[in-house]
Amino acid sequence: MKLLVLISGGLLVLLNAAVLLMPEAGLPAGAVPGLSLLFGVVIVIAAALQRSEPAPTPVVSAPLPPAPAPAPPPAAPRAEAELVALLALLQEKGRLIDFVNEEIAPASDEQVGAAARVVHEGCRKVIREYFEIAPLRTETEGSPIQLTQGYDTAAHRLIGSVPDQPPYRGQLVHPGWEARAVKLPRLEPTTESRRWPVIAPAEIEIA
Amino acid sequence: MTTYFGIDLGTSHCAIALAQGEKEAPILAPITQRVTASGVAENPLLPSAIYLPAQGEGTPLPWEDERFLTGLFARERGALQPDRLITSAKSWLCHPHVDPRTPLLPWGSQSVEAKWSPLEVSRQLLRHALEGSRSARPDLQLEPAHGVITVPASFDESARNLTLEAARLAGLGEEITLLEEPQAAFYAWLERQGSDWRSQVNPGDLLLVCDVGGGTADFSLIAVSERDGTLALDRVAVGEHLLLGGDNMDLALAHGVAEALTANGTNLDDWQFLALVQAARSAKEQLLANREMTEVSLAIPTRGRQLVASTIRASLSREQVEAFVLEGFFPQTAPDEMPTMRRSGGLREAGLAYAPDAAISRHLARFLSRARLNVASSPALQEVIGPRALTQEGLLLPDAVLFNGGAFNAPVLRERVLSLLSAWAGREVRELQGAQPDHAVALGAAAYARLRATGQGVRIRAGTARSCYIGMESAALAVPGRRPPIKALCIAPQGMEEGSRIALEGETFYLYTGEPTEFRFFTSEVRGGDQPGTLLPDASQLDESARLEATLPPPEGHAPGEEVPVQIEAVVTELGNLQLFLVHVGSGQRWQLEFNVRME
Repeated sequence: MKLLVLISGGLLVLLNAAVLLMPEAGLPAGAVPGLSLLFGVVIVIAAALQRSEPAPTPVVSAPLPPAPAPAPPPAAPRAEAELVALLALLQEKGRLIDFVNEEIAPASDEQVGAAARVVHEGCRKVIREYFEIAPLRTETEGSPIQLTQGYDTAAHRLIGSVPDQPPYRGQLVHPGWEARAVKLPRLEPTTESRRWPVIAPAEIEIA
Repeated sequence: MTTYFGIDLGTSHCAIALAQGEKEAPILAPITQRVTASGVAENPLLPSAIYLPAQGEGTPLPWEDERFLTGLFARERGALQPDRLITSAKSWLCHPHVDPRTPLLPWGSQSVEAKWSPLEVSRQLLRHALEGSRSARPDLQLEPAHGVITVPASFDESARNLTLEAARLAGLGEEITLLEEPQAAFYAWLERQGSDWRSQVNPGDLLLVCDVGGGTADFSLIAVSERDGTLALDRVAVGEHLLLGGDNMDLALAHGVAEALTANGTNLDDWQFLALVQAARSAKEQLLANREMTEVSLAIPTRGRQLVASTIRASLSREQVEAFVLEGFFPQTAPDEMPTMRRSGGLREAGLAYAPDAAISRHLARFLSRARLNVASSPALQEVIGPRALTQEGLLLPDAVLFNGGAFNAPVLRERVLSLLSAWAGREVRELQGAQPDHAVALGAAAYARLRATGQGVRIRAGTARSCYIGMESAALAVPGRRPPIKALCIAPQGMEEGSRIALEGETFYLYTGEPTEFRFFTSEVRGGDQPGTLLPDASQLDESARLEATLPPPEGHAPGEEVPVQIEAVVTELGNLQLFLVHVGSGQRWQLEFNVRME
C-alpha cells in the first residue's frame, strides 16, 4: 500500500516537474491535468484504504490442540485485494498500467496525446462510476478565502507565510477534492490461490 | 407502505423502477450484478445479455447458474466472444419464422453446444433483474400483483403471452400485468407533469409517442378527447416491430470512420472495431449535444501492451455525423415515401429481421399511413379522434410528439422529426415539453402499476392493439395445382378491454377430439373496424402471427376421434393478455387454445 502511494506520488511530482522545468517539452495540454488527477486520486484512495484497514482482531486464547496444524499462508489484507481490483478496473477501462509502464520519451506528442485520450476516457468512466468526487470548496481558483478558528484542518493546506493562529486570509489556489461516496465493486471470493486479484489476464486469441 | 414496480425488459437493457406509497416519484432500483470478473456492484441497468462461459470461467452469484453469467461483465466479456454471447433475445420472441421455445441462441454459434430458447433467456433476464434488485434492496417486498412488465407496442398477442409466460417462469406469479412501452413512456410524462399535463394538450389532439431505443423503434398514437367534462386518452394505433435504433447509428458512424482508415492503409481488427463503435457513440453524443463543436478526435487502442506506440488516431466531424445520422436515419422525405421492405437478393439469411431501410423517416410515414388505414376502417376510432381524423389524405398526422429513447437527448434529432412532421402536415407539430428520454419506460410502468392499484390518475384506454382472426380453409372443389385461399374470421376486435369476453355465438366449428388440431392465427393493426364474426375472403392480407394447437379430450358421452361442434370465445384477462377458448356446444365444456409454434 505504501509503495503504491510512493509510486503515484512520485509520478505526480515527476509530471508536475516536467511541466514546470521543461515547458517547451510540451506534453499535450489535456494530458497533464488528467494524469495529475489520476495519480492524485490513486494516492487519495490508497491513503484512505490504508487508514481504513481494520485493526488486528485480538486473539482470544483457547486451549491449544496437541499438534497444531501448519498455519496457511497469511491471506493478504482485504483492502490490498480491493486496491488491486481498482487497478484492474483502471487498466481494463483506461489502460492505466499499460500507459505508466510504457516509455513515452521516444513517442511524439501526438501519439502520447492519442493514448492520453484512451486513458482519460476510461479512467474517468471508472472514477465517475465508482466514486462520487466533489470539490471541497465551491469558490473559483483565485478567490479570497478566510479561515477562522476551528476550520477543518484536514481539508485545507496552508502554504506561504502562515502565522501560528487563525484567522487566515489568503487566496484559493486549488479548491481540493473529496470523495462523497465510494461504490467500488465488492470482491467475490475467488478460487484461485494468489494473494491479490489479477490486474489484467493474459489474453490468448483462439483461432 | 406498498411498493409498486415496473420492469422494462428491454432489447439492450433491463431496468426496474419503484414507486413507493401513494405519492413518491418513481425511481430506478439498483440491481446487484457482476461488473468485473470478480467484482459485484449495483447498477440501475442490467444489460439484456447472457454470456455462456467456457469451462471454469467466473463464479456464479448466489442466484446465478454456472452455465451463464449476466450483468455488465457478461456484456463486456461477451463482446469479445460474440459466439458465446446472447443478446436481443426479446426480438426473437416476436420472430415470425421461429418457435421461441426452441433452443437456438446464441444464433449461429459454432462454439456453444447447449443453446437456449428466447423464452428461457427472457426468463433468466427477468429473474436476474428481480434477484439483483432484491439483493440490493432486501427491505423491499416486490409483490407480483403490484408489478407491471413492459412490452413493445409492436409485440403481437403471441409475443405478449410469451412475455407473461417468461414472467411466470421467473417467479412473478400469475398477477403481473403487461403495458406497452410507448404508453409507459407516456405515463412517465404524465407523472412528471402532474396536473399540468392538461395545459399542454387540447381535446381533439392526436399525440405521437416516438420511441427510438438502442435496437428498436416503436410508435404509437394517442388521441385526446373530452369525455364527461374531463380529458380522456385513447391509444388508437400501434406500429410494426422495427429492428432499427441508436445502435445502428453508432455502427454506421464506425463503418464510415473505419472506411476512411482503410483508405489510408490502416485496417482494424474486430476488437478495435468494437472500441471504435464505443468511441463513435461518445463522439456522436458530444457533437449532437454541442453545436459549437466541429470535430471530435477518436483514439482507438490496440489490444497489445503498447498503448502510446500503437494507438490509432481518427476523427469524426460534425458534417459526418449530420450526414450519417441526420440524413441517413432522419432524412427529410416526402409523406408518400415508404421504406424499402425487402432486400433485393432472393435469399435472406435466417436470424433477426433487421429493418433493411435505415430511414426512420420513411418507417414513420408507413406507420402514419397504416394508422390512417386503421382509423378509416373504424367508425368508433373516428369518433374518438374527432372531425379531423380523416381530413388529410395519406397519413394520420399528430399534433404533438412525445420523444423517448436515448437518441432523442439530442435536440437536433427532435427538431428534425418535428420539422418532418410539420412539413407533412402543413401545420406546426409541437413537442410535448418536460419529457425525460432515458429510463421513462420503467419509471412510467411503476407509475402505471400504482395508478392501476389506487385508481388515482388518468388512464389511457387501450385494449387489444390488433384485431385477431382465425384461419379457415375454404370449402371448395379440389383443383390440381391450386390451393384454395385461407379465409379469416375475426374473433377478437381491436380495443377489447381488460376483463372483457366475446363469444362468437353464431359460428359453429367441427373438431376431431382426442388428437392435436392446429389452427392458424392472424392479426392486423390496420383493420380497426372489423367486428367479431367478420369473414375476410383471403387471409393473405393479414399478418400470420402464431399457430394454435389444441388436443380436445372427448366430452362426456363422446368417443375419441368423434367430431364435436364447438364455438370460439375470446377473453382479454385482467392482466391484458388475450386468451382463446373452444366451448363444446352441447356440454359447455371449455378448452383453452395454446399459442404455439409460429409459422414454419
